[in-house]
Amino acid sequence: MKNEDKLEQLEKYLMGEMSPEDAVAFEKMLERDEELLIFTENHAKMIESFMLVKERQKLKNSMEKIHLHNFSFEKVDDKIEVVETKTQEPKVFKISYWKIASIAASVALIISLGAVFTFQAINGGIKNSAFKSLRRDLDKIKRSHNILVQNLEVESEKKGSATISSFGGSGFAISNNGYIVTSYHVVKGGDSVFVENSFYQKLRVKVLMVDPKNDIAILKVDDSNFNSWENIPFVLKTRKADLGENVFTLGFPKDEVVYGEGSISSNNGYNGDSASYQISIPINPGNSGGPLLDDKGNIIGIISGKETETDATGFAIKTSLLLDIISKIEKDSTLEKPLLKKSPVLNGLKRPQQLKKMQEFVFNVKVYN
Amino acid sequence: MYKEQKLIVESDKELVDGIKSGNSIVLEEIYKKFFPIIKNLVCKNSGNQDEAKDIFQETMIIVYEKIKSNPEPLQCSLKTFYYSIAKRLWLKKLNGKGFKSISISDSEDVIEVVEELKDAFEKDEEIKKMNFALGFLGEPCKSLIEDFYINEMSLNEITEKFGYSNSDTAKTQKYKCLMRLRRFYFSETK
Repeated sequence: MKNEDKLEQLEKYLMGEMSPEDAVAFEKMLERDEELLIFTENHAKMIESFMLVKERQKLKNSMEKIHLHNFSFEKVDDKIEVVETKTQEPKVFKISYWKIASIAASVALIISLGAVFTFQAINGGIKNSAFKSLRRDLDKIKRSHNILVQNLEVESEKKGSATISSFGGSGFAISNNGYIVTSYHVVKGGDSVFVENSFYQKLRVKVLMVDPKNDIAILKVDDSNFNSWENIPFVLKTRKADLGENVFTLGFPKDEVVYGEGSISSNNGYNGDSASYQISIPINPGNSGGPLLDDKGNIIGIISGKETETDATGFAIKTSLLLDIISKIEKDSTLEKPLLKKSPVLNGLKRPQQLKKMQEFVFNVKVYN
Repeated sequence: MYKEQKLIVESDKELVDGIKSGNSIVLEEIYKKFFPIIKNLVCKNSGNQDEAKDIFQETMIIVYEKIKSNPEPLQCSLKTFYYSIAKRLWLKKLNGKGFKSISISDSEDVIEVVEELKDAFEKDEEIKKMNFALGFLGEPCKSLIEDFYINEMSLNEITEKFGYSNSDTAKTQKYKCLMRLRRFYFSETK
């Protein structure tokens, strides 16, 4: 049995979801295996902790709704969901400590003859995992990767404008009503942000929501010249890409759009970060925030950075994390709902045709401060 | 629809039973009944509406956890229980804000609630510890663990949300994330 299956068994046991026969068998196993016993005891502690958090969270949510409904002086939207009227039976936590304790006592002197299985640190150990958690820290990204923010030249002379374009990156539109995705590090610290490409001279956007941890920013067009787009071609896919799958991107490492292609070279990003892919597309400064697409033209990631030591090793944040932040926007009643495309437009087209349809919706993101 | 569901609950016993079973109508009933009392307590003693809300909700949590975990009936009225806990919490808050030697003139009976506050403090610490460990995890592990163990999402839902190819992958990921969480959770000495 695999370790994850054992864990499932153990959780079933703790939650009282095991049949009596299985439970007896499991307890027999606990008696034989001290390591498993200790693991179970510890796991019970954690489950208890989760329960506590869960119960409090539920109570808090219900109370907020009640408060809003009865004691808030702000105008209350009628559509606000009221507390559920159904009485929910809380999941009963049937763990019996005395039982485990008594088994523990009886086992104390028994030498376990070869552990049935060992819960050991999985591939890599602490060193690696600590590093992984640091990966999300933006400063760390900065140090480990070339931050792909293009240092644009001072444009003031050329355009006669007083503002100085200080840096830029790429971005792409995800809904007809003006939502654009880019990397957080592209817009970080900027005062005003504009997007442009060969179709749109300069559209002012505002930074609507950011997720610094995952290096994602959501922008929305906020420009009097803009109503809405038609025919956004992008569909967000959370399907896990396969190793070796062909992928491509469009971005603005220079003032003109640039195409890059390669393949998924690893399912995990920098130092095994499972939130991103490693890709074999040559990435240059300015590519950050651009879309990563599969052969069919589905968006499967956001270009985020590259490794400094090696050429042609880029990283892209997986789409699932983008969907998390989008769902936050969808839940926020003060914001216009992004209307995501569901039906694929680019599927089945030859690459040049795909690119033609895409170009209008991939932007050069320019940040001024 | 919302309005008609009003339930007039008369006695404490029904309220206490409602708390135990997690009845949401009773929760609302209690909220409406006791919040004004606590608001009065806080606002009459150098506090404002928002602070009253925080104190009341904190009190709610303590009362709920106490009643749910304790099979014995309360030794006082629910109202006294709420008031006594809220008063202690508010005094503590005022102390923390630098108010010296405060006295609150009571409009209600008061009982000793040392035990309840101690329990609540321990639970706060436990939650802090768990959040601390979760904070170390990083994404997507943190979300995955929270979704499974706290938000009650099934492995299938997680598979879909995180874009895993099947629920076995989700199960493996969950296992890996949990093993990491354990290291952070148990490495910290109490």
